[in-house]
Amino acid sequence: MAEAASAAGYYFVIEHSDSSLQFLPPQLLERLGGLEVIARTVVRGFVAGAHPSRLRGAGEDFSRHRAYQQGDDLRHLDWKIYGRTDRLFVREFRQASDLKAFIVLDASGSMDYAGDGEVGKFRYAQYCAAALAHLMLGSGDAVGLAAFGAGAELLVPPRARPGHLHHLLLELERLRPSGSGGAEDALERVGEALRFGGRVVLISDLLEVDDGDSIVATLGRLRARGDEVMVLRVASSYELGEAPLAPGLFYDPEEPAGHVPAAPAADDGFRRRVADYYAGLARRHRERGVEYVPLTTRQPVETALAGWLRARESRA
Amino acid sequence: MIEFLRPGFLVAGAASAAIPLLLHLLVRRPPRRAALPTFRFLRTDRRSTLRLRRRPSDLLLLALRMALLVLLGAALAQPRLVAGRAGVAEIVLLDRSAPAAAGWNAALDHGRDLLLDGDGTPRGALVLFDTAAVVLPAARVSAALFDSLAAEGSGEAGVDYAAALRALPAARRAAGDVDSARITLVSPLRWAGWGPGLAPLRRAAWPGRLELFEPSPPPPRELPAFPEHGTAHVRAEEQRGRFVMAALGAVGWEVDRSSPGLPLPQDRGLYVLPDGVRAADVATLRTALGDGATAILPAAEVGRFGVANGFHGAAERIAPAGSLVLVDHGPARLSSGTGPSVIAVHPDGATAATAERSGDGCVVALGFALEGGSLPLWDRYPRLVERLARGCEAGERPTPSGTPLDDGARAVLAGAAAGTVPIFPESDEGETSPLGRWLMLAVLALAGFETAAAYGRRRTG
Repeated sequence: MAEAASAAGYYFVIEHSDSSLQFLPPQLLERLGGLEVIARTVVRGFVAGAHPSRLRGAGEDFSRHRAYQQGDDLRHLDWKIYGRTDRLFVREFRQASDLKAFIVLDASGSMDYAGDGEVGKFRYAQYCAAALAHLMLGSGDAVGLAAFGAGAELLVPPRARPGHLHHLLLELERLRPSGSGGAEDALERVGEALRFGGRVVLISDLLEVDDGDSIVATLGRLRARGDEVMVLRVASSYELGEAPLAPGLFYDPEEPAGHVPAAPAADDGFRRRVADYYAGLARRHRERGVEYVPLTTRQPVETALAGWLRARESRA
Repeated sequence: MIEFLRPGFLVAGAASAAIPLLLHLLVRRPPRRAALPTFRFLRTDRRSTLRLRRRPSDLLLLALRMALLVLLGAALAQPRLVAGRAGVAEIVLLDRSAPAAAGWNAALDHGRDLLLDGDGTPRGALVLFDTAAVVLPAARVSAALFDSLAAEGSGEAGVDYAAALRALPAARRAAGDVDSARITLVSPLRWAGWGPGLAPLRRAAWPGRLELFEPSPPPPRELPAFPEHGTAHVRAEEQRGRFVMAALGAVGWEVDRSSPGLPLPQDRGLYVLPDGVRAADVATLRTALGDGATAILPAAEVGRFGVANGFHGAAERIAPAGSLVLVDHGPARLSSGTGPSVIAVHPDGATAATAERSGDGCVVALGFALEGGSLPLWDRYPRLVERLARGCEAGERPTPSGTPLDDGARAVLAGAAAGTVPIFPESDEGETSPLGRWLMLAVLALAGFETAAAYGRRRTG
């Protein structure tokens, strides 16, 4: 449809459910080049694998049909309805999106981890952030970037102008994981920046000192006031206990001084304890209306995009 | 069964395998220390830590290095497959020719003792031979067979040892499902059974020793009586040649000597040149040989005088002191049929000294040092020197067919190798056996794996 072709981008609805097999494994994405190329490739692959049922004009959401009135733009006439009813109706669209979104990236020390043969957690989070930024900017949203770890920082304010993606990805590339804490502070500052409601996408491993209580509470408050909130939980299959770890002396990367001898592969309870922790977090987030998308670094980045779309659909 | 010719290397290899073990225990890598974000969910397992501390570092590298040293020791120890004590078959070559009639019953008794257990179970195969051979497999050997042979008596044909030797391969197969064999020749051992080419046939037919059993004692042999002695000349460096001179003098020769720098005198009946022939001596020697003299030379020098060199290859071996076997009778029997006559052999039958006509004279070729080692102290040394001096004369003496084989021929038949030999031997002693070569290949392969593994460890830290 002519109105679908727009220089500003695209908007679509995913109908198929499992397209992960056709997407690049995360460990191969690095070969593509920088984040900009990666993000573009991921999004294109994501779009190409979709079955778009509706393709709308840039930044416009279909709202309803109404009877044709003289002076209406003939391009919006719905000819199918005319063919059935002999009556003229036009489609009405919502205004172009003025949604502001923040991608909040966990840059604490616990994100600096990579299992054997896997992409590092922080790098994977960067892929997700880049792809989401690309997708949201293409939808007409204004996207900003925040991070926490060594401290809380609003790195890039939400913008939707041309060239903003490049700026955003540059800041994303400069981030390095270190330190611990600052999640609640970062989310509070993001909430203040999104005074009129917006979207918050938190990409984190949720391994906080307080077991994620502050994050749950803060995100719940944001959701309660009307923001669209999504959590992408990033984890390695090794730290989840899904892949075997050889015995050794293990330590917390955010507190490297102490270590304990352990044999995770032989510890049947390790995997269950980790699973229980994340299951509890998922339940608490969903109870508060926060979209929770668990990701492992072995899954295609497109899985994160599918989660974002589900959240968008539910809001709509 | 595997036998090691140099077991010390095997012991050294096994002992040296402890070195990498010690080094790996001393240089143990500490337990792996790793970050894990979900650290809080771990439970302490101290047993795994203790296992980590006790374990030597790099078990794969350690195993490769230990295996490498053990295999290297085994390869250097020269392994070979040898016959085990179990599974040894007896093969009896039983002479049933006319000359064997006198001792036929004694021969059968000995054959029975060798081939039958106390309960009559056969232990091997029997080869009956005269001018042809018949192989009787183990299944047909029985007490009844020996009884029937005793009743029949020996045959009336002549004897040919070559026929018995050619039957050995079939006899090995007929001996039963064993991995080694011991062979006994039961015969009165007469020259009548000796033919041209028997010596090389003997060596080719069986690598081991033949046990010899004579059912009846041989008649006493007469030593040849030599004609009057003449004049002999010994050309040698100072301090050399004195033992030869003494031996020749002891048996009646008039001996003089000269140094290599002086010309050879003429008109001597015997020239002994242990240091070889100078160019200036050739003409004098050719003249003397034309007059009927005898020259005793190192085998490598003989070619100058136009005689055949067929034995030179074998005659170049130096004999250990006292291990020569003199051929007293019928030296032509031990030759290849043409070429020089054999005067002396080594215990394994290889030629040690030959004699051949050159005109009216005689050239004696030595494959050993005439005054080497303790040979001059051998009590038969004068007899040896005299035999050499009369080399061509002894070859012309007639040999009655009923005459028993002399010591030289017996030494050729018997051989000097092991009595029990694998039926499918790996190789001769002195060569690298196939087993040793395979082990060395395995060592090289392990070395390659170890290098690759060590390189991989260094890269991954």
